[in-house]
Amino acid sequence: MMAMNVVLAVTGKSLREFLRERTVVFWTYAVPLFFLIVLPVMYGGVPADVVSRLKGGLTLTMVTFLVMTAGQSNLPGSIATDGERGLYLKMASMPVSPWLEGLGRILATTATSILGALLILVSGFIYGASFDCGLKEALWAMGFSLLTVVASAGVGLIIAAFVRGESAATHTGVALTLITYFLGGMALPYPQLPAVLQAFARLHPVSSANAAMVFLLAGEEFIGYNPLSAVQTASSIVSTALIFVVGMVSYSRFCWRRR
Amino acid sequence: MTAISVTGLHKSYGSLEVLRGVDLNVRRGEFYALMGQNGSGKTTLISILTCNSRPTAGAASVQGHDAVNEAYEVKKRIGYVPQENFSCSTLTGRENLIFFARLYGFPRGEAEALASGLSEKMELQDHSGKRVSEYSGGMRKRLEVATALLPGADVLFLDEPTTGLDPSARKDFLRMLKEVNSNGVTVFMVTHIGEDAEAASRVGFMDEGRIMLEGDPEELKNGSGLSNVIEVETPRKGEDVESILMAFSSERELQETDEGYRVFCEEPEEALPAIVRALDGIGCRAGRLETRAPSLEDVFFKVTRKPLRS
Repeated sequence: MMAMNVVLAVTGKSLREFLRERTVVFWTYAVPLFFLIVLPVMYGGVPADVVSRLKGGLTLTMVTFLVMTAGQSNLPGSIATDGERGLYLKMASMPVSPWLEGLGRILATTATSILGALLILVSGFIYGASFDCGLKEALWAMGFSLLTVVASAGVGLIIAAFVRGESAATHTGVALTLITYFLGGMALPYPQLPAVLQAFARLHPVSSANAAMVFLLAGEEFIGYNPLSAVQTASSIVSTALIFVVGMVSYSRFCWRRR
Repeated sequence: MTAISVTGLHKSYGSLEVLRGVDLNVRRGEFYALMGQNGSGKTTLISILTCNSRPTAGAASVQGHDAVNEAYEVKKRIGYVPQENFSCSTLTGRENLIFFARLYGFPRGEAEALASGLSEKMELQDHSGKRVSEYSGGMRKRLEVATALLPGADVLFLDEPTTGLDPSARKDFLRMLKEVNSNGVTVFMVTHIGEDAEAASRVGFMDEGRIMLEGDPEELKNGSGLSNVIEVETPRKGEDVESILMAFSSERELQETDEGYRVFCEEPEEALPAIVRALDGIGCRAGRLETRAPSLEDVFFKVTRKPLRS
């Protein structure tokens, strides 16, 4: 019960702080929405039934983009802000577990991601996106989406542990989000990537989970490999877990103790 | 009964020895102020007592619990106000109090009741719905002391709590701190401002990682051997000015201030006109000259030969 109080207190505080920073809220949601609206302009000459599924794939990728922004940029930015103002110094003198506090932050990141994902999905449907799937595929896709949330939060915690200052942490997160988006087979079709980037796209937990979601809901033809193979799925889960654990350990060790 | 007990405490960062054998005992219910220059080791000591840092050698305990081996027990019994403003500026004062109460494990209902009580105690009830970004420095500090009292703290640690506050806010803050202390909470405050330390029931002087002298404020001042202090405002500073003023100083030591010098003098009525004449003689027309009783900062200077505020 006491542990739940700590987690929920941090989740509530982080959510309030996020929602009151209007500029951060706007850009977190506006950038993927902008890409969602602008990128289909390039689909000229593609048959209409394919375009709607292409838009479906793009909608999912933009959900992933938003999840990365929330986890890799907003999360370390807010941790750095709290570090700069001495909140960790205060909390370290309280009987509070860094793990529970970190968990509260991740729950807040998950909540902002869910809010944004719903907004993008609704916008995608309005814009003509369609998905070709059943309930089973949708549930699998939600599972992979959860992996993107956990992996992004893990990366965010690692950034927070090693990059000092709100501006530096936020910019590092934005840079990593863009690098993952452009080099991880989300902006460019996987077959067009050089071999080294194809390997990166398959190994990176966020890009491989995104590929699995698009594969399940929009169609196999948009992904140049099978992201649902046993090896690939295991790789996505293991790398996500690894990044998350490294993130939590780094966070509790460096954000709490070194300041 | 002892609230804080420190024995032979050492702390080093590499080759830099910050604490060099600190011995200290603070009784339960006492208001103790530790004075020292920046870099004297005050914050390092408070960081060990609040379980933010480990000593290199020696022992420290709070309310009978070892600060290293029983850190969790210590953390349950203390409230800490670091020098930095740690409250969340986008949240309201009330939301901050509820947040910290819930971090201590209080369920939402209890946390809300505690927040209301503490807002009233800290005279913030009319502002508890405002965001902290709209608070004055004094209000914010009071809010942060309120968060430190949340678990029903037995010992309150404050690190330079009045830094950045205007004189009126500082006075209010110290009054409130004395009220907290009168309710049985032990207060341990580190400061480099002598006027703040006057509020304490006992004061310690810290220099180069050691406690040099302790006592109640009046005892320290009366026992210092200092009788009067003359503040001399000079248009310029230099060796010629200093050698003249030194001749009038009973301590054979001058303290440089922002506006001029501080002269320790036994017979100020005779010295004042002589100082003016002597300074005129070298073309240095003295501005304001003021005689006053010695303060804790003067006593600190006498003991350590260092100004408290550099």
